[in-house]
Amino acid sequence: MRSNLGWIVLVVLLAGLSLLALAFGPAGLTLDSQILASRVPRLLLTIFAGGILALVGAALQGLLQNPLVDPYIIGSSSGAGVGVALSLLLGWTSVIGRPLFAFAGAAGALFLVYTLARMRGRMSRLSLILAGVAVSFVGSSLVMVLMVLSREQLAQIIYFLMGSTKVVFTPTKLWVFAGSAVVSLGAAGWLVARWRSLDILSTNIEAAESLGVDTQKLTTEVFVLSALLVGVVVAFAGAISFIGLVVPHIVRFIFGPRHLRVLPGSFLAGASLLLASDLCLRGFAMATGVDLPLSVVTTLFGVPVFLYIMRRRLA
Amino acid sequence: MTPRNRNTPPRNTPPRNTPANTKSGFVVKELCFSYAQKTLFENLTVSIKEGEFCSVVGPNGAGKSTFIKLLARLLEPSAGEIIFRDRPLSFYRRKELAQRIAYVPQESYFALDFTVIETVLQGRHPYLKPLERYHSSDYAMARSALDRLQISKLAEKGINNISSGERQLAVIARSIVQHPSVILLDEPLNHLDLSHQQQVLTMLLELNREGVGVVLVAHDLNYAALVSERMLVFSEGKLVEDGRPETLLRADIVQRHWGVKPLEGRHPESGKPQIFLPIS
Repeated sequence: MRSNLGWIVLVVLLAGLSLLALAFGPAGLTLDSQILASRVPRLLLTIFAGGILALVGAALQGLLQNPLVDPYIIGSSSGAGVGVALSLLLGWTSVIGRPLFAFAGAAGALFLVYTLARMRGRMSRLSLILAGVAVSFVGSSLVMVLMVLSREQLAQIIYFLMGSTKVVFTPTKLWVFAGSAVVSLGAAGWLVARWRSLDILSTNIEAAESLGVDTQKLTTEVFVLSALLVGVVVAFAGAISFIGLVVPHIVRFIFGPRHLRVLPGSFLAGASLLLASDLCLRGFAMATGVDLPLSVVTTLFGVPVFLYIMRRRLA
Repeated sequence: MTPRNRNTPPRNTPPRNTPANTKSGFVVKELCFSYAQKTLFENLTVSIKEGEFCSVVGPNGAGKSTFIKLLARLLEPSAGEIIFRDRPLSFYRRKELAQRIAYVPQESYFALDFTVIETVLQGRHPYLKPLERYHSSDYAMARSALDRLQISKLAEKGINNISSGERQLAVIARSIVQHPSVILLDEPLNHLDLSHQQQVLTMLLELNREGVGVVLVAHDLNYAALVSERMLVFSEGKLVEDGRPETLLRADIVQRHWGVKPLEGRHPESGKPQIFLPIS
C-alpha cells in the first residue's frame, strides 16, 4: 500500500515538475512551440542526468555495501573532468568534442580503476573503492594542473565540473545525446535486472555465492555499467554532486531496501530533485542574471536531508 | 512441526528421489588446499553419498569449515578435484549449484534491513530469471519454511531487529527454500537456545528422511553423534577418522585427537554414545 502510494507520488511529482520546467520563464508561465523547442532538450537532459546519477548511486551503494558511496567514488567523473579540461586546453570545444573528450576520460579512468582493482584475477569490493578513490585523486590533481595551464578557461572548467544542464543543443549534439540516452537507459535497465542479486549481496559474500549469485561477475557488471553511465552524464551535464548519494537514501526510506523498487524509484526521485534544483537556478538567474552551477543547489539541499536520514537511521 | 507441503512441488525443480537422482554425492579426489600462510589439505580423498547425514568434527584449526566451503565451491582447491553427482563441481554454473547445494554460514550479517520473509524468499533466487519476481508459490514455500522452524510470527520483522538465534533460524529457513539435495551447515547451533537447538536438529533429521543429504560441522561431539550416521574427524587438515559415531565416540579416540580424556556414557533415549568432560 505504502509503496503504491510512493510510486504515485513520485510519478506525479516528476510530471508536475516537468510541466513547470517547460512553462516557467521570464514571461511567467507560458507554453509555445518556439520556447518548447529550446526547453525540451534541457528538460530531457535534466531528467536523464538526475535519474541516472541516482540510479547508479543506488546500485553502487548496494554493490559496495556502503551508504556513503557516491557514483563519483569509482573515479569515472574525475576522468571525465580531465577529458573536459584537456579539450578546453587543446581548443577542441566543438559541440561534439567536449562530450567526446569527457567520455573518453571517463572510460580511461574506468579502465585504470578496473586494472588496479583486480588482484590475482579477482575484484573485491574493497579494492574497487580503494582504486576508485586513488584514481579520483589523481584525476583531480591533473585537472588542477590543466586549469593552471589554461588560465583563460578556468571559469569554464569550474562551471563544468560543478554541473549544468544549460547546454546549447545543436541538431548534431541533440542526436548524439538522444543516442547516448537510449543506450544509457538500456544499461540502466540491465542494472535494474540485477535487483535480486544486489538484494542478496547485502548478506555475507559466501552466503550470496551459495544462493547462486556470481559475485565476481556481478561486481564487474555493475561497476562497468555504472562507470559508463556516469561518464555519459558527466559528458553532457558535468559533475553534479550529491544526487547519487542522497536520493537512494530517500527512496529506501519510502520503499524499504528491495532494489526492485529502489533502483527505478531512485531514477524518478533523482530526476525530480534535479529538475527542482534546475528550476531554482533558473529562477535565480532570472532574478539576478547570474548562472549558478547545479551542484550548489543539490548540495545545499542534499546535506540537510542526508544528515536527517543518517541521524534517524543511527538513532 | 508442520510438514512441508508435498502436494505443490516447487517450479523448475526435479523431484528429489527419482532414480535419475540416485547418483553419487560428493567425491573428493586428492584435494589440496592452502591458505596464504598455511597448507591445510594435502591429497585429501573422501566421498559422501547422496542423502547421507554426515558430521564433520575435529579440534580448532582442523579444516572443518574450509572443507565444507570447498564442497560448496566457496573456495577453489589448489589441486585435485571435487566431483558432485558425477560432474566436477567447477562445471556447474552458480545457480545450478545453488539448486542442489545449500550452505548455512556460521555467522550471518545483513547490511540492508530486509524483513525476515524477504530474506527467506532470497532462497528462491536460483530458480528465478533476472527480471522474474517472486511468485505466490515462492511466498508459500517461504512461509512453510518459517512455519517449520516456528518463526512465522517474525515474518514481517526486520532481519536486523531479531535475536542472533532467530536470525540463524531465518538463514536455515532460506536454505530450505533452496530445495537443495544436500545442505551444508557450519556450526548451526551457535547462538541457539535449547528449544531452538532441538528444533533445528529435529528438522535436519526430518529433511534427511525426506532424502536431503546433510553435512554438519559441529564442535559438540554429542549432538553430532546423536543425529549423524557418519562422522568425519579432521585434525590439522587430515581426515584421521571416518566411521559411525558408535565406533568413533570413544574415550581413546577423543583423547588421541583432542588431547582430553572424556568419560563415556549413553544417551538415555537413543542409546547413542555420549561423552562427558571430567572436571574436578
